[in-house]
Amino acid sequence: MLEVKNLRKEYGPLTAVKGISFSLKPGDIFGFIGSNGAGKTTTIRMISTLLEPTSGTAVLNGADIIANPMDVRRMIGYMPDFFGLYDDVKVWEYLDFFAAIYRVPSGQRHDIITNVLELTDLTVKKDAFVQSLSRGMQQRLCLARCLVHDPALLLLDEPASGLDPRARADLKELIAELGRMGKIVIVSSHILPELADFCNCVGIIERGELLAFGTVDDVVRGIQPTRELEIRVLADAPNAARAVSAMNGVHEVRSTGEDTVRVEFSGTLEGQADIIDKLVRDGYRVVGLREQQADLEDVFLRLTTGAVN
Amino acid sequence: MAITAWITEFRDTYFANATSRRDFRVQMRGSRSAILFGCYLSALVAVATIYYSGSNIGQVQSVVEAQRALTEFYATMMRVLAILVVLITPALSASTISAERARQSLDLLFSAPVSPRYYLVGKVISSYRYTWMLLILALPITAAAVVLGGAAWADVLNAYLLLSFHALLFTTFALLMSAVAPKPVTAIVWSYVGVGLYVLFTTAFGGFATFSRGSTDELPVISTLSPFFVAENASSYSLIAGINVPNWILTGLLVLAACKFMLLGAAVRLEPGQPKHVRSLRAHALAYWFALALLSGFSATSGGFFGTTISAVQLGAATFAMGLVLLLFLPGIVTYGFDDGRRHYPDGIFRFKKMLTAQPSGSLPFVLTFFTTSIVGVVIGQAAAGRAPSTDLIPWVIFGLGFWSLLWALGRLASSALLGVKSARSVLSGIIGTVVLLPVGIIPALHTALGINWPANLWMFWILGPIIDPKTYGITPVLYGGGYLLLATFILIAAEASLKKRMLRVRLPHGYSATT
Ligand SMILES: Nc1ncnc2c1ncn2[C@@H]1O[C@H](COP(=O)(O)OP(=O)(O)O)[C@@H](O)[C@H]1O
Ligand SMILES: [Mg+2]
Repeated sequence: MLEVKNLRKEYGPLTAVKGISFSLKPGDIFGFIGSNGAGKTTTIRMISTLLEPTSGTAVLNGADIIANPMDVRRMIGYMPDFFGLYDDVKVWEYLDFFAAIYRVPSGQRHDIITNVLELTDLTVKKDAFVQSLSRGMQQRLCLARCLVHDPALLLLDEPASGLDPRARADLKELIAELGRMGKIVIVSSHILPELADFCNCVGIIERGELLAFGTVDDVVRGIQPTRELEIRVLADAPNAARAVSAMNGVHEVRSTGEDTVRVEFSGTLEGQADIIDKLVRDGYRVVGLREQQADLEDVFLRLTTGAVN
Repeated sequence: MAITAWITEFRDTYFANATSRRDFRVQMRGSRSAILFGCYLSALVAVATIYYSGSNIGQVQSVVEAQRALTEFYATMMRVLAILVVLITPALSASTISAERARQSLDLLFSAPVSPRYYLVGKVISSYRYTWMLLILALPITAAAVVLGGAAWADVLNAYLLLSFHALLFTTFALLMSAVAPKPVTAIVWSYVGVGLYVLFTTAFGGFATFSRGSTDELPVISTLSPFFVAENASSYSLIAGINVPNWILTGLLVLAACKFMLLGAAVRLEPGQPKHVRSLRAHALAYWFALALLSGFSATSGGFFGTTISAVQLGAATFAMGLVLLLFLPGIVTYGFDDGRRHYPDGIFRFKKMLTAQPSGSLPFVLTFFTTSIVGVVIGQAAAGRAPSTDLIPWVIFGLGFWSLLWALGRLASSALLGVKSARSVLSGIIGTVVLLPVGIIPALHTALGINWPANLWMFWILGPIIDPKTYGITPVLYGGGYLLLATFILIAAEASLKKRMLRVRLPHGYSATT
């Protein structure tokens, strides 16, 4: 369980993060979305105990980032947006080093390293020098080193930047797997489509403020409460429109031509079924229904250009 | 159990340190280390051969002459080793932290449960071990000197220990530079400059002590603080309270204390947000300072340290002058600002409880306590040596309080009037350079130009004027000190006024207020 409480960071006159709060539970994959300079890295570094918050705090499984930073560090794996690996060190030595740093008993290290290498698909590179790895492999190695101590929380800062599409797909698969293993995963990105399809939870940050937080559906619905239903009938669309205009949840009805009824609707799915039911019972010949819902991309664009606020 | 946790932590830090283990792997990797060791050995052998063939060892001569030639050979080889130690050991750690910072791998480490102490100790172990490898590689050549009769094994062991202490000192200093410097290159340059100055200073004084020695091995510790006289001084000792204490033990203790202090400084740099590092650093500074003052007071009275006993007035001036070391750190201690991402908000002027924190209200208490500590230490040291405290010290106490308060107030003004802690630091450093250091160069030049003989009155205009000739000045330090206190008060009022004006624009986080 991660609880972020009113986390705030000031750099002189600039407030990089303006008191954000949210909480996540095991298994959550949290997409942390914001344009460059929005405050993602600052937030993640504060949760990783690397940066002292100006005020506010975060608590991970009972350990507070300010009061017990060492306890927090034992439970997290942090992958920075930019990082360097050591020269002259082999892949397994690198992982062995971090396993030792995390005080993994030496008897278990071999098995753990084998496991994380397998999970990150680096087994064949076990004896390669880290500086010889490709960017994607280095990314995966860095992720592997975050996993040697079986952390409860993973903080991945722009993990997909600089990867080719293939490596990106592999990474998504890996992150989804980590979620299934019951870890909390925070993934940040300034590119939205990267996250939308495998996160079960998103937060949109802009100029240090968390504008929206929740499941993808909740966030979308929170921003755009109505959806458009496009109902096709065989004939007599204007009358059909009048027939449903007074129903629950219906905001506005328009008809185009003789065969299309457009309904601005904010009701439940029950209500949506009732509309079709009414039309059918009133004798209109319903051919089909199409739902048009704003997707995360629209939400993001509307939020960050100030359409909401 | 706290004690078991402590033992585990101790074992992990000193005996199973992952950082030093990884470094060892890299140090021993492939042909590079073999080539390096090869070059090192060839250099040693070459010097030994050239020296040997150039000397008259082995020619027909008296036993006494042969013995002297061998001793000289041994001393020369140890000096060559010392040169190598001076050249190699700073390089072992000067780029570690700064390179990790440049490579952006520090965050990976410090998001793991790594304390600065664990990391720094690991780094020190790595390079100390490496130094010993180099020393042991040179053993065959020094052993030749022993076998031929130029030295005794015990002397060689002591000399090696002394050299390794110097290596420890240099490598730790370089590690500190590496934590402080913005770039790897800067760290390397600063390390060599610092080590160079140290070696110059200790060699000048140590050489003087070594070559003007009497018939016994009793020598001041300074003679073993230079790496170049380890062969001559390996068995030297100091007479402390009637006991002959070997100088290598004293050197070891001094070096360990210095290293601990420097590592604490590096820890502050590695984890700037952690108040416990600052507290530890400041507490150690006060404790070491007190010990040093105690020693000075004791030996100034009993005659050991300065060679002769000195008067209370001179001692007061000397104690004050010793305290000037603090000037080096003053810009870091007394300034504050909003731009370094840390919580350096003005929280009052003088809070004794905050003395060991980096909070602005703790800086004046710390600076004054640091100064007072040295006076108290000297007085107690004198009392221990059997001299009652003298009222002659009092003018210096007032002078010191005034001087330090004045510099503190200037730092406060710089912080309050400027936008950031960085600019405040530069301004204060500039002020210190101008009022304290610059006159030391200008006044003698003026004297020459105006044809006045040294020491002459122009020194009166120096901020440290009274220390030039403490005996003739008498009550003058009191006048200077009082004036400084007055000036400090005015500056402080100006600082608070400008702070208040700025506070209207800066919103303070909860729990802080602009005036206290
Ligand atoms: N050390 C710093 N000093 C001053 N400002 C900083 C510092 N680090 C970040 N910032 C500022 O904080 C804001 C947020 O930065 P960041 O968290 O890196 O954004 P993101 O990761 O979302 O791109 C930016 O405006 C950035 O310029
Ligand atoms: Mg970023």
